[in-house]
Amino acid sequence: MSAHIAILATPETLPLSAEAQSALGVHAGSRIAVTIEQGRVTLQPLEEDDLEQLAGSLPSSPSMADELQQERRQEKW
Amino acid sequence: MVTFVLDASAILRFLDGEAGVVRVKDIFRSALRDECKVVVSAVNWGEVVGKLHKRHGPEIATNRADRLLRMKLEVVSATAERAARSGILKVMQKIPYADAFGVELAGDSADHVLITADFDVLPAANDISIEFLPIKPPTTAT
Repeated sequence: MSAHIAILATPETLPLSAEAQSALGVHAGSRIAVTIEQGRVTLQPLEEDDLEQLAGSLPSSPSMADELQQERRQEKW
Repeated sequence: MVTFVLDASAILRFLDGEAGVVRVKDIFRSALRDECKVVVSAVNWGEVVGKLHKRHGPEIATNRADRLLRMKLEVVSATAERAARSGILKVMQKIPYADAFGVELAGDSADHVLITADFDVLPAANDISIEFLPIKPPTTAT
């Protein structure tokens, strides 16, 4: 098996219909993991995986959002 | 197509993993699938990056900012016209200035929906569509 990361320069680079690309969630600039195994090629868009990683990746105490709201309320004009 | 306008509070809740994280994640996922647009005012984007920089340092701030922008998050410039309208919103509706940029952007069309955890924008609720993220459960004093 071999795998590498490809970056989709333009939608035309990927020989899939616009509908298929939309379903995959890929667009210009998307990073796609390309895996080749037993003669089969698998394309896995990385953005949705990264979305899962991003969510809740910076738990903070006190909350960043709460802190921001307090700072916004302190403006004087 | 609906355009979700993310306030800084929504993005920070997403990164913090607080109440509303699932909703914001769903919005980003829909944007990646071209089912909606997701935008943020440059002023609110600056708040997010600044807060990340302050709390987590420059490397993490840059890392998270780059990754958020890959989620098809579009930063909308705060033009002179937008700044003027936001200033008027602040004065007329008593909305904090930075919040007003999100409110102003959400007023672009009937298809725009402001996503926020900040109830200080409530005075604008009759003028734009606002979806408030869930209120966080109260913390128990120790």
